[in-house]
Amino acid sequence: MNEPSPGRDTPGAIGSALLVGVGVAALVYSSEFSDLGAVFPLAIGGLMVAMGVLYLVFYAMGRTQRAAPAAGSNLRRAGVAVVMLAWAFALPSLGFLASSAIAFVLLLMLANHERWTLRTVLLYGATGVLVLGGLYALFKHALQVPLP
Amino acid sequence: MGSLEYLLAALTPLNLLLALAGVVAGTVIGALPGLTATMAVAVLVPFTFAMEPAAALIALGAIYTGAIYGGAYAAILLNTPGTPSSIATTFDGYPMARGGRGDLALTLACLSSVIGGLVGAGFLLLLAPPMATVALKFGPVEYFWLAVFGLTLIASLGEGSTVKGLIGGCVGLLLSMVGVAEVGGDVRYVGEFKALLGGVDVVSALIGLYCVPVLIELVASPGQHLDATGRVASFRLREASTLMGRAKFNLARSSVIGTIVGILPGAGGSIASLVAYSEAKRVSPRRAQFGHGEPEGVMATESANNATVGGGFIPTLVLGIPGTPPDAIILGALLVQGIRTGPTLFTEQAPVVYTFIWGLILATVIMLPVGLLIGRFAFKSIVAIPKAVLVPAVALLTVLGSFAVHNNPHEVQQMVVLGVAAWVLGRLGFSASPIVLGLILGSIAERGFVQGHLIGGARGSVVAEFLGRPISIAIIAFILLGLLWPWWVKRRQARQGQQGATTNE
Repeated sequence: MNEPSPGRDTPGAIGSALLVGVGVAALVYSSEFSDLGAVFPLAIGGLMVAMGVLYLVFYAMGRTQRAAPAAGSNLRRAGVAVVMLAWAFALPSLGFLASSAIAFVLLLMLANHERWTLRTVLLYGATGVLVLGGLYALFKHALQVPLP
Repeated sequence: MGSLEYLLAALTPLNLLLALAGVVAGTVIGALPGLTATMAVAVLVPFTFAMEPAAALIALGAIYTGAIYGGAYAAILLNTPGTPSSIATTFDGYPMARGGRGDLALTLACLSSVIGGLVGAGFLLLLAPPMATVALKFGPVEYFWLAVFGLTLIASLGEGSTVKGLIGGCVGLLLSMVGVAEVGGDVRYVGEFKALLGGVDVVSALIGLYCVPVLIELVASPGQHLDATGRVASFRLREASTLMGRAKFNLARSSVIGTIVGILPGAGGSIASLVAYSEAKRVSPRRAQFGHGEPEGVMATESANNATVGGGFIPTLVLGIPGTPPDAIILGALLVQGIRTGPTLFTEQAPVVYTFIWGLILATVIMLPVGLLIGRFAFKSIVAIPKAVLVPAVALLTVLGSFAVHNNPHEVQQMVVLGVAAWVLGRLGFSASPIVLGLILGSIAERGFVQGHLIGGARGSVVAEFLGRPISIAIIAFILLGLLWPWWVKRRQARQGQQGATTNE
């Protein structure tokens, strides 16, 4: 078997294969719905499977093109994803202020590429307090949003 | 009382102050991701209960028009639509900002919003009663075809691959089916997650799908978020005016599309801007540049979404049927004021209605200086704020915005999960825009299809119901034109190229 050429869209083929799986699952679950409720899930699930398979065929024929891979730190990217997920799921139990303060600091650390100095710590810290406090006051008191 | 007298009645210092305050408040709220125009109007509506009816309406109209425009800031500067109406503004607005033309994009958005707003208000002033009858001719089948028309845009939104765009669109369509089906009541794709019974919230999903991947990518490398190219001090008004002069037909067409879609109950600014974008792309000689920072894309979407404001008021005032969700709240405020909407409103309550329409026009004009100033401030701020502060601040806004929609922490979780999934799919080469399009249009398409199917079945012919009505046929013609036109142009260009090569030989 030939190794995929650098131009072939291997990530796209992997994504298509995964989404074919999602489409198949959508089709399988649609058997639980009423006739009327199953029309769209069947049509869209079927279309998704067909398009996914078509893309895999294009990939096998070498007719796909891979986009340029993104540069930069994958560790930082993964860090943001993890912090955001943890923040969202901790929100009901920790409350808005505590969870947001922790997430704000972690995201600030992940996004900062400069050397930490006392000045940046004080400046960013004060900004964080202002942003968090200001938005909390705006939403909680001015807009009457019952933040947890 | 003549038209000039209504204009003078709208020009009182109090009305002007209310219009200014409404535009500023609406713009700021609309600019915050998650806070929609509906929410802006809903939050501020109690302040109008003690006012005179015309003054109250002017304030609400100004808030509404400001909020629709304000959504463009986050769309252009952060790739996050501030309101669903500005989804299509991200397609070209953000690439413009990434390419150092964010200030120009903001100025274009402001000018286009003013033009669209004036066209919509002009239709409201001159043609409200006859145009309201158009809304009554739209049945479920017409909505189905309108949604399909919007969905045809998916094919062109996949980055480099139509097939990938279609797969992404299917993902969005499947997401739109999660929860209790509107027709039939089936519980679909919920599993053990009872929080999904209400379905995937569009605003939370929008924030997640657009904003979270941007945040994740922002931290990956050092350097500025946007390239300012040293021209931050300028509005770039002359450049914007020249571009708009060249795109006058695009602006006129998009504004009319926005007005007509605004008249259709439930359709709203997101569909108006998508349809206008699709049409602008179809007929533009620079269609290949759309999606890569084409100013005409920003002009089309922003003029269309602001035109829905005036368009939406047409059925609201003439028929008592709200054209858009904020209109529904304004309709409620009208009832509180003791004003009964209906065909006789324009005669029995003429002073209130015409003073309001002139007030809406004044508010739209006020949006020009206000929008330019706020836009410049927003652009300078986003460029100047270090990434280390920008990322957590925007993340905080996404959490607050998605929570504030229904005060529901599960929607924050939905937002982040969808955002991370969109980032992963983005790394695999699947763009977020087709997913969003599928999510928004899916429920409209399905509702229209199922209702049309039932009505057609009862009348004896489903095919005639879907393919035999005049408005449906017109929309189907546009769908086919939209799909076949680019292919035909490409084929013609290839043939001309071949002929040129033969002649040279």
